Parts: sequence; structure tokens; C-alpha cells
Amino acid sequence: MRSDILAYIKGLKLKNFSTSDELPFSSGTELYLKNPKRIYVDVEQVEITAFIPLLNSPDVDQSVHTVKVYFAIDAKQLPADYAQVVSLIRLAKDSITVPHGLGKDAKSTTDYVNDMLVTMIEFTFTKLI
Amino acid sequence: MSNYINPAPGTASQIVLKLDAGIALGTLTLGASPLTVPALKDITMNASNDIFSWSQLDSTAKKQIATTSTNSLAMNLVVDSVSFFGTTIGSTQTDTVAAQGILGLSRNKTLVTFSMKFEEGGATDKFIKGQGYITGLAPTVSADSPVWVSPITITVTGDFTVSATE
Repeated sequence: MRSDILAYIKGLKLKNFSTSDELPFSSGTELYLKNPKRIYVDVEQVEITAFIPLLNSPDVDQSVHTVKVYFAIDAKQLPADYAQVVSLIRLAKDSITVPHGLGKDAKSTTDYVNDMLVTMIEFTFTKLI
Repeated sequence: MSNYINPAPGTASQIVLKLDAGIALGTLTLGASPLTVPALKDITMNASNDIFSWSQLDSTAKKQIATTSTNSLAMNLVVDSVSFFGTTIGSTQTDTVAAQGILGLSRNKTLVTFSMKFEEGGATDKFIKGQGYITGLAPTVSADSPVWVSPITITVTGDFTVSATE
């Protein structure tokens, strides 16, 4: 899922933003805060839960895959294309094919760190396993 | 400690429902290769006695007596392709239970002999056995729950029998 989202964002060829293959790790300061307008995709988190509990067989399970995308911009000067970029990245959920999929969701949230506006877009893909 | 029966969900050996076909009416012994019904969501045993009631001049309450019972085994299951469709498309009543599958047993109106393990306890195993017909199939799937699930009823001809063996 991470590689799919990364490939999708790279394919957007955004004019004022770049995309990094690195993970958004922190060595004191998160990479996306060090490098504004650079988009980072975190590793995928997976949770497996029962979708249909069964009496006499192993449950029908679902796996929920969560991938988070981060980027930061100067909060004092919101880029003119900010809303469009967020909207385009959110659409990654529709470009990814999930076999035995149960649902796809994308949610964007923002937070301020000093004078930076950090945008986090969280993708959730649910499928049967 | 009370003797509650508490099967562990997800365990193959605790609730076991086996079906067989081609067995004479009145014989409850399964053949060598019965069909084990997989992926049961729930199962309900219905033993409903009909009641004859009457009133008497010397009583302020109705009198009742149990007559015949209507028995059935109802369940919901996740549709498993092999056990549902069987191994032979266009099977007939004389084919094996595996060949007919659950849908074939219903379509062919095949007399089914069943054995349900009700309680697992080694020496205290309890099986409910009987014969009947598969009915009430209604597979359904939806966008919210994209897995085929179907109710099934085995409408029983005759009595349920409790047995210590399969």
C-alpha cells in the first residue's frame, strides 16, 4: 500500500511540492519539518480483526491497512495550490485496487508546530483475508 | 460448577454438523463420507410440540396435551463454494452428498441424514441426529458485508434422536 501511494503521489508531478522515498522519521525534528513542501509516506500499519465470527471454523478475518502521508508548509504563507494538493493526494484512495476490498477511506487533518502547518493524510484500506 | 455447555467459537471440533444422503428413511447412521458443513455463524435447534387444548365445565383453566412435534435445525453460514455447490453441476438425488452440495440437496429435495455434535466432552459427547430436507436457502451479499451468507433450515421428518456417538 505504501509503495502504491508513493507511486501515485509521484505521478501527480506536483509543481510546488516534491516527494521523498524516505520515511518521516525523527532525529530530534521530524523530516517533514526540516524539509517543508516535501511529502513523506510512512510505513503501513496493519490490524487484523474478525469480520464474521464462526462457530466451527476459523473466523472470516479482515485486515485494516493504515498509511499516513505527511508534509509541512510555512503557516505564514499558505501556498495558493494547498487545497488542491491535499485534495489530489486524498484521491489516491480511489487509484489503488484492493483485492477482496471492504472499504477505502482518506482523512486529512492539520496541526501547527511552531510556525509550520503540518498536514497529515491518513488512508485506511480494509480487505478480507 | 454447573454443567453449562460452552463451545469455543472458531474451534472445528466443538460444533460439528455432518450431512449425508442416500440413507434409508429411519436409519440414522452416516455413511463413510458425509459432508461436514463449514463456516457456521449460528445454529438453532427447534423442537416445537403442537398442543391440543380443551375446556371443561369443572375447571377454570384450559386443559392441554402435547401432540405431535415439528422439528427443525436452523442455521446461518458463510457460503463455502465447494460445500455449497457440490462437486457436480447438475447433480441428481442419487449422487453423493459431496457431489450435490447444500444447494443440490435443496434443489433435488434429497432426504438428508444429519448428525450435529451438540456437546463435546470425550466420553460425554452428545449428538443430535435425525433426517430431513434442506430448505430456506437465501444467500445474500451486500456492499457493507461483501461475503455471501445464507440461512439454512433442515426441516426434520420424525424425531430428533440424542446419541453418544456420531
